[in-house]
Amino acid sequence: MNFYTDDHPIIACSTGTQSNTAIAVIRLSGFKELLSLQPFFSFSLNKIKPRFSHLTNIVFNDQIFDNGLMVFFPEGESYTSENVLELSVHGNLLNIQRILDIFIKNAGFRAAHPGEFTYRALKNKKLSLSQVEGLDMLLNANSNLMLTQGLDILQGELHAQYLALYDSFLKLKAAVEISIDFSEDVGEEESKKLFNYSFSHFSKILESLHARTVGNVSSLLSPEVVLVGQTNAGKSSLFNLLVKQNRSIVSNIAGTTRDYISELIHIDGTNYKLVDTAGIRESKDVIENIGIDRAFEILNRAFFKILIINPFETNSDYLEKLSGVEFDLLLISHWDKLDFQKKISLLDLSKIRVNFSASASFETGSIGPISGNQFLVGPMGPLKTGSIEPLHFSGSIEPVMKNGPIEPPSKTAPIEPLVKGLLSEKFHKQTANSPILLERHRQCINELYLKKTEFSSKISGIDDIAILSSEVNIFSHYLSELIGILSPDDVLNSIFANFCIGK
Amino acid sequence: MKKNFDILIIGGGHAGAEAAWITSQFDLQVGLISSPNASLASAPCNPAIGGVGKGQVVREIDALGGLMGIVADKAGIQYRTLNESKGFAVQSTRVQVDKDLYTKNVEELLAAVQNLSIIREMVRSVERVDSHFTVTTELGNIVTAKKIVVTTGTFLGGKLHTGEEQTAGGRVECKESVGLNELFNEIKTLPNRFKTGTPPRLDRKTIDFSKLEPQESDSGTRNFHSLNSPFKRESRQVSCYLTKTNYETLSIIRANKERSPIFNGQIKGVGPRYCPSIEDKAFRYTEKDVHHVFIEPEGLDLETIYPNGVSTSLPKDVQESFIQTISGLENAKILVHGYAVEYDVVDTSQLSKTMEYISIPGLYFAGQVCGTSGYEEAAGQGIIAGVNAALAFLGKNPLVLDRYDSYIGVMVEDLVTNKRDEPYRLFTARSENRLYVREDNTIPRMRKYRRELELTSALDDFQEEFLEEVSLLEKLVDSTMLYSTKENKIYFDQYNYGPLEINISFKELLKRPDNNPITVLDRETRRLGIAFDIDVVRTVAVATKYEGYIDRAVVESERINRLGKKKINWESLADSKNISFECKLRIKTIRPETFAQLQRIEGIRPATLAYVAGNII
Repeated sequence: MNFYTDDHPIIACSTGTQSNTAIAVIRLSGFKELLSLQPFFSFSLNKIKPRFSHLTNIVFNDQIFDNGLMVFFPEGESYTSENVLELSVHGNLLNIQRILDIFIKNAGFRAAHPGEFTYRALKNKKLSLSQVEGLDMLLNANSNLMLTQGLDILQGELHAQYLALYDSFLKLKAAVEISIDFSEDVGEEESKKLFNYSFSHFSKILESLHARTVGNVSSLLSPEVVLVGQTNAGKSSLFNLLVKQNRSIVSNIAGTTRDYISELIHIDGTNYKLVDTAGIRESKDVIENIGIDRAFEILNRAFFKILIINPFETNSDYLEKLSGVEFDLLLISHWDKLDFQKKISLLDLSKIRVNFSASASFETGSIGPISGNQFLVGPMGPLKTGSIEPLHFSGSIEPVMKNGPIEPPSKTAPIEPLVKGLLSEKFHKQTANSPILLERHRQCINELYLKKTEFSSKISGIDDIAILSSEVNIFSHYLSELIGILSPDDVLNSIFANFCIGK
Repeated sequence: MKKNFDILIIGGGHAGAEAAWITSQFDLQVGLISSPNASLASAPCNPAIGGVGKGQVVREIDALGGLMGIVADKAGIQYRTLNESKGFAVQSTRVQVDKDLYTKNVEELLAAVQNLSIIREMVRSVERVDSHFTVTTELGNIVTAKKIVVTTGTFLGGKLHTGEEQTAGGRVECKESVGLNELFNEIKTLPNRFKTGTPPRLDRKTIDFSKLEPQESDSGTRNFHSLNSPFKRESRQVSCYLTKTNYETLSIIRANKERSPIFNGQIKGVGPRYCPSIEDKAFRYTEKDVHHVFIEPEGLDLETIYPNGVSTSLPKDVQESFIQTISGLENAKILVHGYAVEYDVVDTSQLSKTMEYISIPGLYFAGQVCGTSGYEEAAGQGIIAGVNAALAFLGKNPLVLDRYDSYIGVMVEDLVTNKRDEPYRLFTARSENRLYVREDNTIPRMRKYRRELELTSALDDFQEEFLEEVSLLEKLVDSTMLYSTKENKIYFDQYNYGPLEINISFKELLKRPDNNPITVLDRETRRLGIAFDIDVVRTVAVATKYEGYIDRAVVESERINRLGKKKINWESLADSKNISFECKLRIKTIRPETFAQLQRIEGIRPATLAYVAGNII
């Protein structure tokens, strides 16, 4: 690891250095003797009570620099497992810098690198690698889901599950060893019982973890809502409507490619990136294809896909290109401008087969108070919605709509709550089993699960217990990776790359 | 009395006897000094040699030219193959021995060795003078030696406990030796003393054998000594018996917790977790009342019976009442009560892999004084210490066994790379290479080590010839194909060899899971008219069976141990600013060469491991 392997005392402001605030917390870690810091405090350090707040002036050479609170965490009982002192000072940026400088210039401290406090916690086994990953998720979360899971990995149920899995593996291994080395003491039947019991226990924990890795979570981490449709279909209207009412407090995501229009919207505890593919110009020349390729890329990773069709200007070649994509929502715009029979013919649906689930029903909705642009929203039933499939379909529309012909909806409703409701519903459904979000954990668990399945299918055929035991050993590799007992450098590097100074 | 030796062994137990036997195979003057009131290589605890993992050790000793296998066969009265149904790799031999016959044979064999002198006296002190050692006995006699092997077992500072009674002694009716620190004031002992125990001995006549389940001697278990014919026994064979404890037994023990020296604080030593006393079982597994008790005869003519599984240091009256609750033992009379012994243990992290005390060249330790339990473990160290004392005396390269191809290597490395906190017992789980370190391939595994001794004996000729036979049979197996002919198919059906739809190699037939490879190979070589010795057949058949698995296990364990095998530079670690003082001290004493050894050091901080791991990857 090319990380700071020295154990030099380090200092940093842990509460952010972007703007002036009322209070800032400065963290000092790794000093050998607390009393050596006496020259910097008015409070007598030999009276300090670990983990209690004390009011003190920060002083140096007879000059008072600030007045604040300090808390001392002794070695072994602190975040980094080293001696740690936390100072709550006035959060003026100049003030913070001045205090940092005092300790760096006069007390032998070095400015901490990003993530160095956490690295020390890892190094000193205060945190395991997976816990560090949890912390990373917690600190950089952009949804309630990530906040919750970050905390869960850090100290909660998921962390406990990992440890329980490891523990049950050790018991399984022990059961095998017992039947080899101590079967005379324990008895043949009992050791067999012990093995079966511990294997089923191990399997149970692993299976419940594995259930949480099924499905695509990358779309849950920073969920994107994509609007697809041809020019003038009404994408921008919908985009503006959703953004106006749900703009997120986080206005911008670093690293976003701005070749399409996107905004963060906040709905029900989760930030969604709303993408209007209008940014990708559709035209009739070659560029059109490039634009569509780009749209597809976005579409593939999107969490929620909305297709908007303008029945007056729908190009069936365009729709053909979208065949096979699973849309969550189909919007047909300018609905109010058509009468029902015309709608069908104008849509030119004879070339498009729309598969809706049996219970699909339709409602109309309008954007804003003016019902100038009314949409047909469909379907409103279960979230599984129509894929638009090709092609070369030559029959009439009726048999395709499984429920018979579309009946014109009787009432209209505002469209925005409908979209929001569908979005939230899908998100909650997909996160109901608290999916494991970290890709590394998912991979480890999947590998383990595969090995376990392989192993269970073999067990009955193996009467040679030494061979059985070497099969069991295969688990240990993946387990220690999952728990992060020992991990390769690149994992550490990629995790710590996300941390900022002071953490 | 002879006074000047090249090599002197102090202690005549299993380690000492083995050390004396092997060193006197070299052209050296060897002395063995042992307590006058204990017989040589006696079996103060269970009357058995071998066991899971331990059977492999006995065969390894035998292949190195040791004593234990020879004597176990002479005194063996019941043979068993343990784990017989669990696959060849974990099968081990255990032999019940007649205690009297065992020690009588050791005494006779050692007495017959020309260049070995046996002195029956207690040692008072050992001193190093220039390049040799001076040993003073209790009677004031002085002997000298260039190399010394200390194999004093439980005698150093030994203390016996039976209930409230405490006496000084190395075992029952044997005087203790002075403490290890008095013997050599420079030797570091472990801060904690160790403890071990033994069950009461019962009067054979008072046991109702009709209530017990007999276990007969297994005629298909191979004798230990490789030069002996495989299945011909030297002594009459008898049965052992099986019975069980019950709720009443354990209730009596639980009701007397306060009178148990282990639980009332009288014994401070640490006992082996893997060989628990019945008190340990009673209090540790409170929900379990049924424990196996093996009823083992101590000899063909001896009246004592060893009830294996109820080792105890409870007061005599408690021993008597709990024994009589056990089925078959209702009227059993105790002849010798169970007791526990506490003793000094040398800090084995001060030893090198030759069992030499690093800071005192020429001084070797082996056996229970090193904190191991078991006759086989003691003998295994005895032969390593003895061989290396001899090789060092002769100015030759030391003999170090690799943990990847022998259990002795596993044990020695485990001992010298760690400070132990409980008695060390070998079992197969301690080996990373269990599929390979088997009984059936002992000679192929050990031949290279025996060769290093540069001795010539009947054993060496036998081993060389054995390896030639093995390679011949391997070639035969490799090059034979079985063709899918009508006759062969009928033949396959006749012996349930499985399908023969296409031509298959002979190897494939041996590897088929439903076939016993030994039986098949034996039958087929005979059919070809080339009969091989059954030992050769076994070696080749089992090796073929495991071939693929061993390769895979090696790959797997290498993946797991990739980090463990990385070399580390302990000297630079000991100088590093990033490692705690305490860890540095431990690194300096243990001198780990690989990351795995560093990991095995007790008390090494995770931070140190993380630091080292971070720097070697």
